[in-house]
Amino acid sequence: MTQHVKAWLAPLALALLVGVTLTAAAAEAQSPTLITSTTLYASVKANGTLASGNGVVSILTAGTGNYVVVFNRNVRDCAYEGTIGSSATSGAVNTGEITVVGAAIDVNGVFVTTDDSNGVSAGRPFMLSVYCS
Amino acid sequence: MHLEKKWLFVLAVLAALGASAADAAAQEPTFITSNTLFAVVESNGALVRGNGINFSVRNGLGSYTVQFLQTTAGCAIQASGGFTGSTGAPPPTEVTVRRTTNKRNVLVNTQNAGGVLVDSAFHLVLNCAKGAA
Repeated sequence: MTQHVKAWLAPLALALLVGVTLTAAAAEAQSPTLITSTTLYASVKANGTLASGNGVVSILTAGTGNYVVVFNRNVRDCAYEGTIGSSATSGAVNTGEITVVGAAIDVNGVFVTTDDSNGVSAGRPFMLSVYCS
Repeated sequence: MHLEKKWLFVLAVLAALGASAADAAAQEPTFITSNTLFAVVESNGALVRGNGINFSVRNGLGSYTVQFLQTTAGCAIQASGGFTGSTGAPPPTEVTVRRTTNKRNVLVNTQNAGGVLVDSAFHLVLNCAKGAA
């Protein structure tokens, strides 16, 4: 091996080592073992109007404390999570209970019921999230 | 300052790798993602659908255990009472959640509007900062 080639061995080895390390780190960073879901959501006022949302097409009301939130995709295979609450920046939110179920009238819809703390149907503002795998 | 050609070569390689890493970082999305898992569970404890679930089981009246495929540490755990299908109006239901000594399990309790344990179907969602074993 010539002296010239020997002189390049150390720099080449160092460059190779740094390159392999950085490449491995980048590969690890780009390959998280995440379980992802598609998320749709709606913040709905007690009167059934949309305050804000993602993927919401319409909201139907069907009597006191009954709402159907219609999204832009089929949500039959999804999980629904509802919480009574308001996106308003002031005012008290009345306490109560909320239930969720797929809407019979539309595969894109979630039927939401809200009640007061005694279990009596009552209009309440709510946040609805829909998670689809 | 005098640098030999070989070390200039190393510096050039490192500079190129650094620029590449900076590019990759710059291309990262500016939103915060989470690992989202969910379970839709029947009142008898049967898993109807889910994402990232190992199993669900009814422990007793109004008590259920759902085991996920990853730890539940560091996750936000939310649940809503409701039906698993797309018909009917669920009765008012209260739901509580907590972790257990098994790091992959969530304990879910369901009550009626009077706070009495009753069997009820529910939708359970976990939002986790990252995937984990």
